[in-house]
This record gives sequence, structure tokens and C-alpha cells, in this order.
Amino acid sequence: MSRSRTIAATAILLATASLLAAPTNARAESHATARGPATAAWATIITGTVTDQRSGLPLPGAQVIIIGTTTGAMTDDKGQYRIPGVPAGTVRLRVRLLGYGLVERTVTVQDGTPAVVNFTLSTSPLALDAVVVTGTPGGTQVREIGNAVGRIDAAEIARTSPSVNVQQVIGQRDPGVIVQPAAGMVGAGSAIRIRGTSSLSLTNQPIIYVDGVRIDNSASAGPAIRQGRTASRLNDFNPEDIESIEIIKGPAAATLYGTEASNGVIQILTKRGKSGAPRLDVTLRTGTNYMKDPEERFRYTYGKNPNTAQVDSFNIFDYYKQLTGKSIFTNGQLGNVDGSVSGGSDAARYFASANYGVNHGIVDYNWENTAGTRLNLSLLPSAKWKLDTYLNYSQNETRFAQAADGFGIWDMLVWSSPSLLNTPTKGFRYANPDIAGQIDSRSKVSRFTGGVDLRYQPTSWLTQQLKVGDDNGQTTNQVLFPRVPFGDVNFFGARSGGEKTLEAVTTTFNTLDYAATAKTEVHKISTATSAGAQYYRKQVSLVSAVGSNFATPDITTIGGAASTSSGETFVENKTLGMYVQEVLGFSNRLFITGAVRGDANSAFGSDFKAAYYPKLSASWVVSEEPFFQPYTGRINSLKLRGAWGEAGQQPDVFAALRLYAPQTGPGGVPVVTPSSFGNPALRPERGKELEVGFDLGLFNDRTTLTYTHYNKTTTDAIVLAPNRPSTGFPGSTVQNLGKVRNWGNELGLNVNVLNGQRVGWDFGVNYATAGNVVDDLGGVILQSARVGYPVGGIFFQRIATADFSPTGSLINVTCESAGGAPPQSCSTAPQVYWGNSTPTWWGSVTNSVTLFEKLRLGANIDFQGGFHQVDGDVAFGHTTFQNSAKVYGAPDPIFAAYQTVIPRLGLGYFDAGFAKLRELSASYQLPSTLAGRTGAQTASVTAAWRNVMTLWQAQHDIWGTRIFDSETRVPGSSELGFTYQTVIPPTSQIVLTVRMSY
Amino acid sequence: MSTPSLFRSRSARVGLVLAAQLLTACQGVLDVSLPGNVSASALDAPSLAPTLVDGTQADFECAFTQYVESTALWSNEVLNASGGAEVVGWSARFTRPEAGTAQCPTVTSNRGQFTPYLPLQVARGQAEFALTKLNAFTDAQVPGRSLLIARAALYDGFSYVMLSEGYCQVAVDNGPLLTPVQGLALAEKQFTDAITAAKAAGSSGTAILNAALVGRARVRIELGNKPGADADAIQIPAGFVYTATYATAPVRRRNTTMEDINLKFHLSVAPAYRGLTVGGIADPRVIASDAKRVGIDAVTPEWIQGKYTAPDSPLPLATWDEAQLIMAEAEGGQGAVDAINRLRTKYNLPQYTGGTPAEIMTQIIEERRRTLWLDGHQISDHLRFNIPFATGVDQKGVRYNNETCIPLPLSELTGRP
Repeated sequence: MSRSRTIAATAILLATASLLAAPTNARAESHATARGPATAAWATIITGTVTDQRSGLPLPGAQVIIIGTTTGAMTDDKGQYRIPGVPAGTVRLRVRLLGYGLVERTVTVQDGTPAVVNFTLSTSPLALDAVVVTGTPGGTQVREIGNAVGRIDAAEIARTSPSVNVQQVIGQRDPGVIVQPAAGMVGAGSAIRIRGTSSLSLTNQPIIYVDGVRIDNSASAGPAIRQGRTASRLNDFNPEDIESIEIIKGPAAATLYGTEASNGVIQILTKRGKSGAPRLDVTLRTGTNYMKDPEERFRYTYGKNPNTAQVDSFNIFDYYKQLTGKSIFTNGQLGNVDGSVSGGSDAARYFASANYGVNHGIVDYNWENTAGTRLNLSLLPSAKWKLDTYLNYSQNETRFAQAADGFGIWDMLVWSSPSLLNTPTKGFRYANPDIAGQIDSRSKVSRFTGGVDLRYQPTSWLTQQLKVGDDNGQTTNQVLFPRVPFGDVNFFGARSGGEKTLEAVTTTFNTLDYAATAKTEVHKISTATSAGAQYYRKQVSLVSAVGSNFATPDITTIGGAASTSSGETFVENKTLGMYVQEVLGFSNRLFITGAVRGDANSAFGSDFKAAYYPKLSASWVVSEEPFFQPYTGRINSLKLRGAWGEAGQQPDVFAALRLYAPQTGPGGVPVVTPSSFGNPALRPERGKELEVGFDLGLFNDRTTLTYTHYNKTTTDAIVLAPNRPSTGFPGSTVQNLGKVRNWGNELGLNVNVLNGQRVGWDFGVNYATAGNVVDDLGGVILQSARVGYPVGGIFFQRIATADFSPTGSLINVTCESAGGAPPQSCSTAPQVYWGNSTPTWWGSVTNSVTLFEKLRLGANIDFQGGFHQVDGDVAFGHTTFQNSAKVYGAPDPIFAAYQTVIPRLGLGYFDAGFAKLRELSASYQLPSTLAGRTGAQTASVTAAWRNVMTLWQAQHDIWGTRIFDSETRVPGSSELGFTYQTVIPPTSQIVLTVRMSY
Repeated sequence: MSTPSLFRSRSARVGLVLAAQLLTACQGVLDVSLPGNVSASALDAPSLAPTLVDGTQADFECAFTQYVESTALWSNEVLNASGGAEVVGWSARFTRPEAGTAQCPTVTSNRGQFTPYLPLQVARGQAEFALTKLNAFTDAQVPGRSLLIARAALYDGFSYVMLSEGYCQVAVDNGPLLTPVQGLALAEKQFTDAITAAKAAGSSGTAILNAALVGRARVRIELGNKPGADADAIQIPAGFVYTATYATAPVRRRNTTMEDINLKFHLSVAPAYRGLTVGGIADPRVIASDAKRVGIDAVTPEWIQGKYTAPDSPLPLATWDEAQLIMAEAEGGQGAVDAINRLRTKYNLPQYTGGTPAEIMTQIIEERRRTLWLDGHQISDHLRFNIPFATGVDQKGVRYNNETCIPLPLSELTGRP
């Protein structure tokens, strides 16, 4: 309490001081505004249409204003605008729309004579005058921001790509951002990484906002299945509802988000209504999910015939087809209907949508049903007030393809063996595909996300904004193993009697965010003074029940089980943060921003009161300086930027406390057991980052280049120092002992190669490099991290020597020592560094060709490299399950030593670099006459293909066993995991989309 | 720019009032609920002393079954029939440096757990935490305090026994590492305390008293104090059994020794324990049967045990049987023959006729192997009696390591002077 009061008092004092500075200058600004444009006389009206230069389509939502006044209008759904009450004379109009270059035009209007002024906008990735709302109080023009801001035009991507969820929309479309691949089943999600990984022990997942409301960013939701929970809560949102996505990438940009923002921030901005007649948009999507060429990509598996001892081999896919006449995998169908209606007046606007989708995976028991609805309202009762509300409700149900503990379809395949042909599993491991389908792992989610955004501008210089939001999810997870009928082989091991696990998870995220900004301008110097306070509360409660052993296969309720157990957990965290920020602008070209934020958090230890995060950044639009004018013919825009700032990463919510956990004791009595050692001095990790870069526009922005270099140092990095077991406490003690350095470069190049009406060609490249090193662990020795090596380094013992004796026994087996010392016995040898598990370079290449304004062809390539993974499927095929060719091939003493002497995962280690043709698409805008036959004003058809083919693979096999897909990854729940095992590899999709607007 | 101009602005005044309200509202704004855990300070209440001792018992009982099945695999009472890397490694007596840091399982896993070290240390820590509290309380504050002290000391003593018998070194809190002999001495002290407190508790402490006597006899025989061991063992009434208790639910309360062999098929009874007889009569102390299936590794023939029949079957911790074997070892000669025959009579087996002292000792070792099968004694017997551990490769071709005692995990050794 005292710490929160300390912060509150500090922030209020600073805020008060900042507000004191405003009135005098505000009067000056008001005076200037009152002068209005020159040569005022009788009023008239300006109307016109704003269209896209390439497609000729109308552009709704463009802001048209008369420069030097507050007079303006927004284009409606037909791209039309209307500005009444314009005094006769010469005025200069400015048109601004996100993703397009700003256009200005001088117009002379006559007394009482309406003027028609049409605008054609060209896309511009730089868009220095676009407004960014993430990381800035209330919104700021790009030109003022000293850090890189990633912006994704989600509406455009949804229109032209096969992306069926939010994570696919984000993809690898912005430099420095990776959405890790999800397992190859519908409903699976994955983690997002921005600028690599920097936390040793905490999450490396960015925090996520939707329209300013903090949401559950879990990438490890859903039931506990093989290798972890694999659903992402981000995918509960409908991509069709999203207008754009803003990404800020590190502490330098995310200081105002304080504790928890060190990994960056993603803000999703949903669509809003535009004034005009109701506009109905309908999107129909159909397609298929499939596993590309499994028979060809999957290796032969080997095994010894138990009767003849002869080594046999077979392709399990071919064998199953011969046996049953059907394929193991099917083509899963997907279908989605999305409708929205939007419109309104200048005083009230609305956007309402509803969607329903059914998505089937590559086995018939993997499916996902999604349904959702959204209502966004904007009310402008007066020039001073604006109220936006965002209401979203979604209900999704997913049945996953994988199960717990070795009974999923992929487990059965990868460790199949001819030696099992005459067993009840018919060559598969553990069970067979028909049995796998009996396990029912599913998740049902009902989620409400809503917010109210109240903006009050009492004077021209002061803006206040209050946001209140709630994100509430109700999830039911289930994993059901039905009882195996009597007489059958016990396919499900300990669960053969049947077992059902149910979990009811309730997540609640509350957001309260207040910001006030006072702006002044004297001569050519502008100031923007902001102060704000944010309060977040997170609650996660989980109630679980397990029932084991059913009397018959038909009984599947927990109450019907012979033995039952239950559990409940509750986690709560609260953050109170306050900040002040000052932006100084000079001639609207040079901007300097300083800010400080203070945070108190319920997870901090009792000995630590508050964390303070400073920030300083500068932005200079060099191309608008007078001295630069001789060069503007080629370099039409150049912005230099630099930012330094800090942000935090909060520790686990109760890690500071010494705790005992309840358990069941003898005779069922309640007891407690030691659970957490605690650390009263616990404080957040601190990320300090310096980023510098430039945004360059050449040839009228037909070529744009953005570059950013960053250096980030994480101090007080939380190290999970293992408790000595003899302390009597399990697990680890969370201590602020570590230090990690990250660095990297991000490059974005977009070239408008051809800009004709017949042929247009846009070409883009995103490329990022990232590195990191652990500088300090406070003397703690961890298996997963070492000083001098990257976060997420792979450490195993490594065989140095091995030979066969004349009788074939392994002899002279030694393992490498640390620091170049001579090899030693593997019983005592340390684990040594093998490689980095996170990509050190990655990017994407995009191509878009537009023909005759109607047909757009697109192709995206993603690539990643400079890292390694461990394929557990291969490793255990070489060892435990003995089903690889190498096992039965020419004896190799090193291989044999790995098989028998040390932990075997080294036999699955491989260079995981790859390049994939991620998307191919063709989108055709139907002629208006054709569209009109359906009653639509516009209509388009898009055919798109996702995960088309692998173009390059750094390594193709591991000790002779083919790697099925280098892109397979550990699901989201494993932060720094590098060993994947029995995860279904990514699948492909073909999607046909029809869009109609009425 | 002046203060009056600020207060003429209604919005500024409203802002200041709101800020003042916010400051007031900050009181308690970061307080959070913690309904699922107990802070250490909350356990200072005397009324919770029984809960602490019950917790000690629960922690020990979970650790004990982990220890029993882990050492059974280590000392080849059972075979590895699992595909899990942990099982394979442990079976080959290859411990990963981080092994030993896993807690008692709380959810069903399809693979066995072979890391009893942390659960044993948690049980020991819990016992000593409870004893510290109990010694600070008065009899008036805690009804039945002596019995509670006796119970906590008993489980503390047995925790030390397991930590000393199985492991190469003994760690206690942050002190210097001890030898197994020093660890056994600490166990003896705890058993002595338990005996004292149990006697003070009167008739309600009889079971604890006998269990502590068996425990102390076990320690004393291992420390070479044969008279002391004999003196304790001889006091144990016929048929006495003190067990660690288990239940079918929750998972943490299950007898994992039974489960991992008979239900999960991760372990298979080793050939040396199949079909044992005495004079042609099936030995009822070692019941193994062919499950007519393979283990979870799909390779190893699965033989299940019949000593523990369900996940809630108790495991014997201190028994008259063991006391007889301790007496046999302590007394030797005819005393040993008599002790063996008392056991054989109990199990309706032919009488043992005796032999040379060496033969009698060999027979005592064999009787221990059978009588105390799957009771957590074999690793100690291997080490004490120099019984060779398995060498070469196992039935799946996995090469055995040359460890004998179990090394402490890296987390226990790191940073020690």
C-alpha cells in the first residue's frame, strides 16, 4: 500500500506540474485557430471522392481536413466526403489514411458554389503523418515517434491471404516478429517472439491489447496434451474484425506500459463504422486442410521380425492404405461465414459483425467450431466528447488431434515398426489410428472482451482519455480416455480403465487506463505534456476434476468413475502504474520525448516498493529541413530516429512468498506441504534498450526502406536458482541474479516496381538478425543456460571417442570436457554447448502483382536460420524404439555410444533453418456489372494456398533419418523448449474466399 | 501561467480532485487473494501442529514409495520395461545431474518417476519444521503433543535412513555434506527421540514405539552395533507391521510401486525373483506372475508382482519380519537359524537347518532378499553385503553404468564449500 501511494503521489505531482504549463499557450493556439483560413467570406461546400490509385476502389475512413482549421470530414463507405461551411477563398486540403501517403491540395472555392475535389491515394509504408496509438498517450503521428512501430494492414491481409486466424495474420510480416509455427491441427496456436528471447525464466511472449484493453495473451491454453497446452487465446478473435495491428518491439518503445512490457506490445485495432449509409459486407470462405505428401516425406521404419530376427522395413502410410483401403490422414474441410454491417452519421457510427466457422483437420476427430459477434459504437455528442465502445463475444470449441502421454496419432506413426505388425497395434506404436480417435481432447471457450473509451477535449489544448476494459474467458478443457473394452489389449496403459480430466478455467483481465495530454505551440515549438495512470488486474482460476476407472466403455462421466479427485488453483496479480511524458517539437520536424513510469505490482517482494522506468527518444524528419530540399527529388522522406528506454517483466505472481500448499494426507485428512521457498526482495526484470534507425522514402515513396538497430540489456534477470533439496523445499527460488544482452538489426524494404494501371508490381523484403548472450547468472549453475552462451542454448553431453572391441563391445567411450580439457568419462563429463535454439536470422519476401486493376497475384516466402532444434521423434527412433535405418546399418561406434551411454536426445539434434513458400494467392475484383448481378456494389474472389512448399532446408536428415518438417516446434507452453516430440507437423491449406459488399 | 489560471480551469480542478480520490483509493489496491496456499507465518498457530505432522507423514509416505520402486530398479529387483528416458537411464544406474529434483507426482503420468531424493528431503524438512514448532509449544497448547513429537521424529528418522542407505552422501540443510554413517547416526538420534516421546504418550504411542525400535535396530545393525540392534529388535511383538499408507486418490497418495509394475507396465519383475521356491514350495514372500504381455516398451516380457494388489495397498515400513532378520544378523549362529525359522514358520515354509557362519550369513542375505522384496532394502543390502550390481547390458541392450550408491543431484552439490 505504501509503495502504491508513493507512486501515486509522485505521478500526481508531476502531472500537476505539467498541467500548470498549459493555459497561456493554449490561449495562443485558440487565437491562431480563430483566425481561420485567409480571405474568409461566404460559406460554401466541398465534396469529393477518395480512391485507391492502384485499384480505383473507393477508400472509406480517409480523413479530409482543411489545414489550419478543425474543419474536416471522414470519407464514407463509398469513399465520399462532404465538408460544409467552407468560407470562400483559397484553402489547402489534406487527406490522411493509414497505409497511404498523405496528399495535400490547394483549392480555391467561390461564394456559394460547391466545389468537387477528388483525391487518389497511393500506398506508402512510411506514412509519417499516420497516427499511432500504441506506446503513446492518446495517439501520436509517426513523425514524432523515436522508435520503430510495426504496422500490419490486417484488413488487406484478410482480403488477400489464406490466413484463417489472428496469428496467421501477424505471421512474419513485420521485421523482428516471429509467430512460431503451430502444430498441424486446427485449433492449435503458438507463441510470438519479438526480437528473439531475453528472459531466462519468465515468458518471452509480448503483452497484447485489443482496442486498448489488455487481454489474455496465453499461448498455452487448452487441455494438457502431449508436449503441453497448445491453443492460443489470441486466436479467439475474428481476423475479419481487425483493421490493423500495431507492434512495438522492446523496452525503448514500451516504457509507458511498464512492468510486463519488456517483450514488446501488440495492439489490435478493430474496425469502426464510417459515416454513411449502412454497408453490408459478406465474406464466404471454404477450403481444405491437408498434410502435404506424407507418404513421400515420411521415412521408412525398420524393425526386427520377432520370429525370424530378420530386419524388415515398411512405409506405415502405404501399409495402412493397403490394410484398410484408406489413408491415415484426410483432407479436412473448412468453411466460414462472416458478415458485418457498418455506417452511421457524423454523431454516431457503428460496426457490427458476426461470424461462424467450421474447420476440420487432417484426422476426422480434429475440428474447430468458431462463432463470434462484435459491436463497435462511436458516439460524438459534441465536439468535446467522444465515446467508443467495443464489445466482442466469441464461442469456440476445438477437439484436438493429439492426446496425452504417447497416445496421439503422431506418436503411433513415428515410432511404428515392422516388428509390431503381428501385434494388436498392427505395426503402430502403442495403439493404432482408430484407437487414437477414441481419445477425446477438447476445449470450449466462451469469451467476452469489451471496453469503453471516453475521450474528452474540453479545450483545444487539453485531451483526456479514460479506458475501461474487461476480458473474460470461460474455458472448459477435457481429456477423455474411454475404458478399453474387456479382452482388448491395454492400449492406454495406466488409463486403460478409462480416465477423464475436466478443467474449468476462468480468466479475467481488467484494464483501467487514464491519460491526459496538454498540447501547446509557440512559434515553431510545440509541446505535448501527458500524464496517465493504469491499473491492471489479472485473475485466473482453475477448477479440475479427474475420474479414473469406468465400469464400462459407455460410462464417461467423472461421477461414474471408481475413483475421483479434484483440484482448484487461483492466481491473482495487480499492477498500478503512473507516468508522465513530455514531447517537444521543433518546426514539426524534430521531436524529443522524455518520459518516466513508476509501477507497483502485487508480485514484487515485500522488501521492494516500486519500479521506475525512464525513456528518452528523438525523431528528426530530415527531409523536411530547408537544407535538404535539393535532394527531395529522389529522397522524398527521411526520418532519423533513436530511442532509449526501460521496461520490466514481472516475476511470477506469488514467487516472493514462502508458501505451503494443501494436500491430502493419510486417511484423507487435509495437510500442507512445502511449496515455495520465497524471496522477499524479489523485483521485476529490467530491460534497457537503445534503438536507432531511419525511415527512408525514395522516388515519391515508391521505394521505402526502414532500418533499426537495437541493443538491449536485461538486468535483474530472474534466475530460477534451484533450491538445494536439503532445504526441504521443492523447485527453485526466484532471484534477480542474471544479466542478458540482446542485439539485432531489422530491415524493411518495399519497392513499387511498376505503378501502371495495367500492371502494378510491389516487392517487399523483411529481414532481421538477432543475437543474445547470457552475461551473468549470479553464480547459479543451470542446465538450460550458461554464462557466455545464448538464452535457450542447447546443452548435452557430447561423445568424444568410442570404439568397438574385436567382439563388438563398445570401448574407449569418452565425452567432451568443458573448456577444451581432455575428454573424460561420460559418467562425470559435463553437458557442453551444442548450439542456439532460437533463430538468429529470419525474414520474408513478398511479391504482389496487380493486373488491370482487377487481378492481384501474391506470393510470400518466409525463412529462418542460424538455429537448431532436437527432433525427439528421430532421437527415440534411433534409440528407445529402434526403428531407424541407422540402427540396423553399418555399426558406428559414436552412434552406438550415443545410443547407450548418455542421454539420447543428441541423436535428434539438427540445423533447423528453412525457407518456405508460405502463401500464394490470386484475388480478382469482379467488374461492377458482374457484382451488381448479385446485388452487390463490389465483389471479389480470392484463391489462396498456405504452406505451399519448402524451398530450402538446412539439414535433411539426422543420422540417415529424414526430417519430416524442419518447422515443427514445441507447442506454446514451453518457453525455451527445443525438443519437440510427437507433435503433428504444420499442415497446408487451400482457401477460396468470396467477398461481397452491399 | 499561474496557479490561479490553473484553478480557473474546471477540468484541471476535476483532475486534481480525481487524483486525490485515486490516492485514497490506492489503499489496498494491490492486495491479492491467495486462497490456495498457506504462508509460513500462518503455521505458527499451535492448533495446526497436528496438520503439520499429518503433512510430514503424507510427504514421507509419498517419498517412501518413490524410494522403494526406484531402488528396486537400481538394485535389480525389477527390470525396466519402459520407453521413458528417465526410466531407461535410472535402470542403467545412470543419473542425470538434475535427477532428484522432481516432486511427488500430483497428476497421472504414463511414465514412472525415479527421483525420490527431493521427496525424501521434503519429508525430512517437514518433520524437522514440525518438531521445531512442537518443541516450542506446550502440552497445554497442543493436546497429544508427545505423540505428535514421536510421529514426527519417527518419519524424520526413516527419512534419514533412506537418505543414508541409498545415497553416496547425506546433505542436511546448508551444512557440510555428511557420510552415510553420519547420516545413520542422525537417524538413530531421531528414533531415540521418537522412542522417548512415544513412551511418554502411553498406550497410544505403542505402534510408534515399536516402529521406532525397528528403525533404530536397522540403523544400529548397519552401524555395526549388533548388541544394540538385537536389544531393540527383540522387543518387537510377533506379527507387528507398521505401514506407510496409500489411497487410490489423489495421485500423490498412490502406491506407485504397485502402479508402475502392475498397472503402467513400466517395470517388470526381474528374473531373479520369478518362480522362487523353498524346498519345492512356492515362496509366498515373492509372488510374481507372467502378465502375458510386454511392457510399455513393447519389448520386455511383463511380469507383475503379487505383494501389493492395489494402488492403495500399504507398504511395510517396520515389521516383525525385519526385526527377526536383524536379530539373525546380530546374533548369528543358532540365534540366526532360530530367527530364520520363526520367519519360515510364519510363511509355512520348510525349516532352515543351518550351516557354517558364512553359509548362515549367505542365508540371511537370501532371506532378506525374499522377505524384504520391494520394501526398499535391496540397495542397502547390495552396498552392505557387497552384492554385485548388474553389469554388462540389460535385456534391451542398454549398458549398465558403474554407479553403486546414488549420487546426489547437482542442485544439492552446487555452491557447497
